[in-house]
Amino acid sequence: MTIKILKRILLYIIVLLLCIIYVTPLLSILYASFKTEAELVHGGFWSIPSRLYIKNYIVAWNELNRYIINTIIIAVPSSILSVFIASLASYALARIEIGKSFKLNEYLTALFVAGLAIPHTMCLIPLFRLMYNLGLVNTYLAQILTHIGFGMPICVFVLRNFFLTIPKELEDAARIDGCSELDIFLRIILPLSKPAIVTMICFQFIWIWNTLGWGLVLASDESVMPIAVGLLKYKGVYAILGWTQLCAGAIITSLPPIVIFVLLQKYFYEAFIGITPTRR
Amino acid sequence: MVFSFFHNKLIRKKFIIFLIFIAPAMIFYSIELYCILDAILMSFHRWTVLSPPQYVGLKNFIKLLNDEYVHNAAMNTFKWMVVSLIASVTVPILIALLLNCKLRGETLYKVVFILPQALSGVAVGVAWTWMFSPSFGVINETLRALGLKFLIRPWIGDPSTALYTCVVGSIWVSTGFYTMIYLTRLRDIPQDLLEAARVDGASPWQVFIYITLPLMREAFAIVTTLTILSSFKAFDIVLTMTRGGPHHASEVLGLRIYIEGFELFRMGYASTISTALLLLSLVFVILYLRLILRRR
Repeated sequence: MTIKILKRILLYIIVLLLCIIYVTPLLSILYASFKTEAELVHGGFWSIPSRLYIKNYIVAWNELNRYIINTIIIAVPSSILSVFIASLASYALARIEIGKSFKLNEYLTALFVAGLAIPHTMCLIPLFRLMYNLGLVNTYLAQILTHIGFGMPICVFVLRNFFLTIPKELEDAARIDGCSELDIFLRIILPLSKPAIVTMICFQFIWIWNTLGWGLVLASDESVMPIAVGLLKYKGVYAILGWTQLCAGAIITSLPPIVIFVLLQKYFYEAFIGITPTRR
Repeated sequence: MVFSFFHNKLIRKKFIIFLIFIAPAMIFYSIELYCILDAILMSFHRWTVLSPPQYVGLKNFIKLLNDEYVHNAAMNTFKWMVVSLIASVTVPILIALLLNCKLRGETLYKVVFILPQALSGVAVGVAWTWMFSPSFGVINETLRALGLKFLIRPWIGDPSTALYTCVVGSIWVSTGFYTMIYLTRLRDIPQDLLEAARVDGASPWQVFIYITLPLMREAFAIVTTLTILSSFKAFDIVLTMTRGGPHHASEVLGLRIYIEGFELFRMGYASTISTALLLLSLVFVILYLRLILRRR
């Protein structure tokens, strides 16, 4: 009996240790962000800061806030629109079945989902060329359009899987009462899937917030630069002189996604772990 | 007949409604489809941004075969793939087995192991640059504290380790995710199967090898496919941590495309590398689609 209890205790210790090791990279930048540069240089990494030093955060915030505003201007319309547009398509793919021998729905779904697996770096140059020819480089619009377009695969995939779980009887009843497909979608499916759709908008927001590539090629101008590019630029400037400030900057930019993620982690498990698509 | 359903009026109406629902998504998605086609098209052109693209036939592809920078980048992508493959089929399954021991505090470790998924590649890059920082990094400071001074090196600045510092960053992000995939599948295994084997006198090791592992086949397939695809996608973390340096030591294919296109402005040739990357990943893209769409 005692051996069993000891075993359990040992297991808990190992799991806790693993958790601590796993978050170390995050904790280490958090720890450094509260130190002064001098404390870091003289005391090394493990030295305990004399007091909580928050000036790093003020400096980093002043440097990064315009990128954050840009990102919000880009990410809010992109995430809402992409999820709404994708929900229409997902409904059709999940429910309006076309063809018996030739399964159009399945092939179209595969076409959409394939966009998830293709390495997006191969699209950097064509995307730049497209927006350059349209005269949209260095505009919010170019980034919004891109985020909606490249957001389709993941949104369609997740929402289609979700719609497939809604019982069919509801729609059939409505159909017998003479509702059109659009009525069914707007009055039955959308209200039923409100939580899923809101969750999806939140995840889409995080991913847009975190996306580097599109901003890198479409926004060389600071006035439209998103936060991921802004942080990268900030790293280029401060990597030598202001590590503590850079750490504060990384924490600031990671905070909104982390908060949303922790609040919604249950849904992340439901929507992603079971069926496993990923953006990376 | 494939399109015989067009003769029926009702079905035709249904098809039109279907198209109306699909159309907006298809229009936006065509941005991505267009980009893929355009990359293939441009790979046969010479384009330096300033002058209009010029058709050069297979010249870019011949150049590709003899380009030592591309060979180097492809080799690095391959190393990236091998290391992350090894990591993805060992560490996460061990952690998942551990977490499967009916421990309390499930929410805590669920949050902890999924946390890196919330971070941008740049933030991950900053965190790991800091971990590997030569003078104040956690890794070197810890080695110093443990008295393992001979292991201390400038990790990111050292050509022999630079690539692997980026791989570690990327493995860090995916480990938690893969752990949770394995854990979900572990929990799907019917308990009476394991019970039956135990009653028959199988040791825990035998149960794991002969029952658990075969039942996890699909999870392993998904994880390895995802890992291979993500090694082709590697870009953000490398750009943040090393920019491909020192002296091209950590350059991967994704980064090479960016450097050729946006630093050397050889956009046609960069598209050729993109096309090669697409061809390399195509098999795994199909495999991935089969794996994740099969379940219905």
